[in-house]
Amino acid sequence: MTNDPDLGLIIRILEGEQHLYAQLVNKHKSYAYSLALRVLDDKSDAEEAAQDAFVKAFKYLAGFNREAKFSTWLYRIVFNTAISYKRKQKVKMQSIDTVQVGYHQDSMEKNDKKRFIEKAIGQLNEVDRVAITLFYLQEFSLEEIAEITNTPANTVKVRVHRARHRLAEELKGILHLEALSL
Amino acid sequence: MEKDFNNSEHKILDYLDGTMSPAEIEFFEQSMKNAQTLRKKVAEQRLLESTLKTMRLVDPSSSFTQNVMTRIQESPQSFNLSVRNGILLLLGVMVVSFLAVWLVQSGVFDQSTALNVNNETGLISKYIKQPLPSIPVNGKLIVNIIVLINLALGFLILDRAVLRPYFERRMRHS
Repeated sequence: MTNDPDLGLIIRILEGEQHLYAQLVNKHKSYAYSLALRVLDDKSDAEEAAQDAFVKAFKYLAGFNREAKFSTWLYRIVFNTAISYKRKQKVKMQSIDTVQVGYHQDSMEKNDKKRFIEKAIGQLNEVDRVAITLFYLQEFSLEEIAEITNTPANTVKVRVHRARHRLAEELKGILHLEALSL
Repeated sequence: MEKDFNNSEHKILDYLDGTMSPAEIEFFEQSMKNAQTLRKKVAEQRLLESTLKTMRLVDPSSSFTQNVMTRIQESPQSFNLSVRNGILLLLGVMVVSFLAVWLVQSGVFDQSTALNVNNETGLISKYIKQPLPSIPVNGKLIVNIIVLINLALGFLILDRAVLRPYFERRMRHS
């Protein structure tokens, strides 16, 4: 039995306290939305896909395996929903600048670096983008990322490592000066 | 770039992730002392890691939760039986199954083995000259299939409406 903090809420929701689901949505919405946005690169599609995923999760909540972690199960639904939206989505070229990344305008230099990272991440394929997002944003383990993306753990490890290496290559120009000062 | 991604790149990331054994760490750190390129690569990757870890989550619209809850209320719930209704449904399924078994056992379905569409009213024979073929029906087999479906349904209801809520409640109280 896992010590999933969401389990108590899930049990109460299944016993009929449907309104409590709003608490689960509030808790996981930012992450679900960020994940969908990584796959779809479009704010309105990402919002729609993330909402859809929450509705699906509610519908199948009774079938949720309580031995598993709710967030992993939910993000797998979000990932699959976003991928199916991606298939439907018309191919559209979108400037990386239009993707909302939620930065704080701390300093020009910092902002430039983050923008560059976003651009470098945007050049990865969607599965690698999701893997990198899961790895850094919520610090999921490689095994959990494998479960969410339905990919063997070894493949995920190679993907995440390769994506990190690619990002490093892309960012070399910015990092070079700072690395020398270490 | 793909060709550049080799074992040493994996080693750098394993080192930074702390997934190396103490012996591997010692060997890797020794290698770093002797190789300036490796040292530089590790420093670059470390800086990238710290920058990536500052990535922030993106908040959806303020009406996100409200929209989800509205959509949930609008869509019918899939399978949500109360324990009382579940037990009643289970009893109903069991009664139907026992009745079906009893009827089969008492030989009610032994006689009717064919459907004869050449009926006695004479209407069909009046308009159709050729006699229609009779359709063989194995009543016993059909009722047995119904009993099996009922048993499967009974197990499903027992699991969803009785056993699962019972164990969940027990787990919550423990």
